[in-house]
Amino acid sequence: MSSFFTSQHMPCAECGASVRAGERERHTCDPERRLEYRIFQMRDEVARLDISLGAFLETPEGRFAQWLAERERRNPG
Amino acid sequence: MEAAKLIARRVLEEPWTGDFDVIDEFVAADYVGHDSAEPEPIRGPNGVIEFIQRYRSAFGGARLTVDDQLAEGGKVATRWTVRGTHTGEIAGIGPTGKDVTVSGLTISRFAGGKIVEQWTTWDTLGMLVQLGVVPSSAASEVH
Repeated sequence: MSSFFTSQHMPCAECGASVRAGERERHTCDPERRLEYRIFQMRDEVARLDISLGAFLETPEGRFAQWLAERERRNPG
Repeated sequence: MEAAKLIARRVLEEPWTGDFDVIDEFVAADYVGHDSAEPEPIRGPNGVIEFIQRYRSAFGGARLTVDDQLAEGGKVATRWTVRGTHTGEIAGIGPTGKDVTVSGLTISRFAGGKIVEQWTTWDTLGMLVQLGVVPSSAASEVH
């Protein structure tokens, strides 16, 4: 769908930074800003991961995984 | 009129830092604000605070900077720019994480050393284009 609507500033599709029309060709993404932007886009997925990880750790398999990890941490190698 | 210009600047800029004292100090109790994006007038200092809070909660770290001012006959005209990151819901649009830059013009009318009325027009369409809810031409997109 095309439109004549434009804006002097537009967010960069890669990093979300607001870039002025005349500076679009010269824009380079700040790696930190790009990482923040991508994590923000994935925030629902990250939240779901936290919930499912918490649920897994409550299962017998998850409790065993925690016990094993703690054992390996105390006795490396 | 230099004092009025300074007051208009402070009333526009300072609330975006989270400091609302300037509104109680310089916005009249019977203040009326006319905003191009608002169907109803903004009334009183509390109305101004609620209006700014709504945008601050949607745009994390947003700041308003004054670009230019003119003063004449008890009125101050201020051209400004707001920059912020869209981290909360606004107009039904969920957070996008995008940085947004929006400009506008406010005319402030003074009486008794306080702002009694303001007329503001701002680039609402530009904000919607930047948030990606209004299609823009391919040439205007970055990357």
